[in-house]
Amino acid sequence: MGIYSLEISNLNKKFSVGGRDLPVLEDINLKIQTGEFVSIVGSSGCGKTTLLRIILGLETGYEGEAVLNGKKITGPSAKRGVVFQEHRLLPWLTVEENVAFGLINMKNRDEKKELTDKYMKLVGLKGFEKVFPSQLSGGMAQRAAIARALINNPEILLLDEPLGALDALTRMYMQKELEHIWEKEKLTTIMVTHDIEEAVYLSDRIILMSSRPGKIKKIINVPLSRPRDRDEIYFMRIKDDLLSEFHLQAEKHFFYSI
Amino acid sequence: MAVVFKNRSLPKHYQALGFVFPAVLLIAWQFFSYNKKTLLGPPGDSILALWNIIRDGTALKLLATSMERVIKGFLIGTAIGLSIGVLMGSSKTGEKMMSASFHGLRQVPMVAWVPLIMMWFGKAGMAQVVFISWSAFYPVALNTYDGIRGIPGKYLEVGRVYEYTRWQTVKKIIIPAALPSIKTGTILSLNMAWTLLVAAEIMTSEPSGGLGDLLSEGRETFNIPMLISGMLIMGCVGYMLNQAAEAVWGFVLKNRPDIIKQGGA
Amino acid sequence: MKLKNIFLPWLLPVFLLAVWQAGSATGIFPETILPSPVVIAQTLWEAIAGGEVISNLAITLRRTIIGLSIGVSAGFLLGILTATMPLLDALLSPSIIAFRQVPMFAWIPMIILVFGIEEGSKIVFISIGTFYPMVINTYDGIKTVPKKYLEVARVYEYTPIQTFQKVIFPSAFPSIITGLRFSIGMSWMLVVGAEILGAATGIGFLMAWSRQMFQLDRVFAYVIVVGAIGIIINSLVTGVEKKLLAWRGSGDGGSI
Ligand SMILES: Nc1ncnc2c1ncn2[C@@H]1O[C@H](COP(=O)(O)OP(=O)(O)OP(=O)(O)O)[C@@H](O)[C@H]1O
Ligand SMILES: [Mg+2]
Repeated sequence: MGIYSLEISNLNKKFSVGGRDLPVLEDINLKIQTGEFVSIVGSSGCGKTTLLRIILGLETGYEGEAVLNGKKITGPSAKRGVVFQEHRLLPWLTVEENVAFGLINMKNRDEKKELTDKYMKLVGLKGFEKVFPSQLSGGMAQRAAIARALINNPEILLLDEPLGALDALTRMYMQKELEHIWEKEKLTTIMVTHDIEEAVYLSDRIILMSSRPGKIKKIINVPLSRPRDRDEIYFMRIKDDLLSEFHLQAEKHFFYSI
Repeated sequence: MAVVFKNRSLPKHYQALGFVFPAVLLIAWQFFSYNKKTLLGPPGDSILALWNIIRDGTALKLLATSMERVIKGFLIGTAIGLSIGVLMGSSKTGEKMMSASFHGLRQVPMVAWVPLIMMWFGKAGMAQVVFISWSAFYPVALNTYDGIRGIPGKYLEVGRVYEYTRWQTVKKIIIPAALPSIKTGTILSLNMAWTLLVAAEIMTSEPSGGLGDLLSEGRETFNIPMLISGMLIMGCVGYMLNQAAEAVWGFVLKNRPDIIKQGGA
Repeated sequence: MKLKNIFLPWLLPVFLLAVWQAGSATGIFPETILPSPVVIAQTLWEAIAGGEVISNLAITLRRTIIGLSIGVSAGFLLGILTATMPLLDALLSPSIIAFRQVPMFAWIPMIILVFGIEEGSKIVFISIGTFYPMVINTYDGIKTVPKKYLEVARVYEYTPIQTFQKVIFPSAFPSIITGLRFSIGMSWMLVVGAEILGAATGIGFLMAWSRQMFQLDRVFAYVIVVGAIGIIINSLVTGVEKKLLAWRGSGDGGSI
């Protein structure tokens, strides 16, 4: 077991596209501690979602292995909470029913109702129980998806750009909320994001990925105490470091394309 | 219970299984008609009957007559349907004036018009063409109208920004944007025309000169092989008509990959 | 403006009726070819008051409902089975598609020969005709359940039955309802057609019979009855459909 919750070793993943192999992830080695908050950043299409799907157990057919709490991942499990890149609420269920989606085998109705209410409140959706997803704003839908991911009390939380659809203010508010939830539940969390500041604000470590094929380029520690202050000098420095990584990569691309 | 969400398709060679059911049907048919003399007769009889009418040209003659009716009716119905559809879809006044009548009349099942149309337009020939025009009219009109109403406002606004005239808007924006629906409408129309042609041809009390005669005559003379030949020909021709319509649209729309991908109904 | 909205839809029918009536009154349209609207209205009234419409309509509706129930249930079941069992799919679907190519009304002579001219043949015909829209739409609906929703069910370790109840069926539901709507619309046309082609009772029979008697006013009156029932059926179905599919809003929670 050890202190590592998730261990990924020598992972290689290819997709076959039109009969040809397209390497998507190459030589991924990663250890994540129990209760750690890790962010993954990298340019679009570098394989972040694919990596999360492997941890979820939705992708099979790869080399190497992913081990969660001592057990090799072979398929999906309700003990892994996920917020997909698109919210994936089921349009025919009300918000409340969507949030309770993972409680299907819970027989006790009262308990189920209580839990659902708790998480609805947690993400600030009280009063929208009977509403259908098509009647929610993008941000509200994403929050409902977060509630659905949390309600099962998962061993690990996988977030694929969970706050992507939110406006800047709600986003900051939700970042705080996420931090609260994470601290309270001591949840091992992996979050994919495009927002560097968000990554620095929330993470213990930030994994930088390069693309085509996706590799871990760098892992950056964020040794700042919480709650973090976005205007503090160390915060800004880490953010700048990260940004310059991207800048460099962009420049290289530019160079090649000439 | 096999699971739809895990293994969505079987290996390719399993497709051959599709022949099992027809084969079983044929064998059963052969078996039951072999033992005692039934009306149905063994499958061989039907195949022979089909072969005979193809060989002596009867099939071709009947088919040509039916085909002529379908094509005439289809063209007339489509032309009117397109005009009415564009009128209702692109003019508010036109829509208000016509949609109530249009939707009201639409609820009368097509076949209910047959007795009336037959009284007005004689027994054979003309009546079928009129009837088919009438039934081909609705799907085209309806789909054109729907397609135009569903055009996103943003496209129409582009036309307004560039001060297109009404006619320019219809030609450059409305019709191209509504083409997928129009395609659906015409293909439905053709299906409808073919299905109802049969109805129209067997509803006349005298031979109509078309493929329907195989059915009416087969029924009156208890000649099941003839009946089955008729059904087989109608099925095949209907299928080919559909394919032909798709092919024609494919050709017309070869510069519009956005539409071809969506496909018809 | 308001007045114009109320007025416009009536313009066309009223105008046509007026021309029609005027033409009949002046003898431009001979009575034997186009009876006047007033005569048709009278005939319609008499036919309803005399009870023949009601009694025949009852017979027609009974046939429709029985045939529809059989066709729709069979289509629904077979649709589900073929869509969820690949083996059954490979076995049956090609045959279903092939049989569908035969135009519906081409079945009638055969069905009448085999099942006679009585109730049985009508019901068999309507069952076959309503079977196809149902089986095809059910099948399509299930086959096109978005994979992303199935994955959510997999993540929460739903059993196949749970997945069917919570994801597959609701996702296919709009398509199934469309199939049902087509089947219902179809059934009305099929029953009238079948009755015109060969029956001794029913509203379609009345039409065919009046035609043979050259009673055009009656034919017209029955067309109106058949149309009115069509309108009623359609508005009922549309109303129920709206209720059932309330979750289908215009947006999709702001997702792209
Ligand atoms: N099922 C699949 N079949 C073939 N190729 C795939 C499949 N899924 C993903 N890919 C390819 O793998 C690569 C990585 O995809 P992935 O979705 O993991 O990217 P991502 O890092 O999440 O991008 P984004 O930030 O845009 O969400 C892409 O090039 C994509 O085209
Ligand atoms: Mg992604």
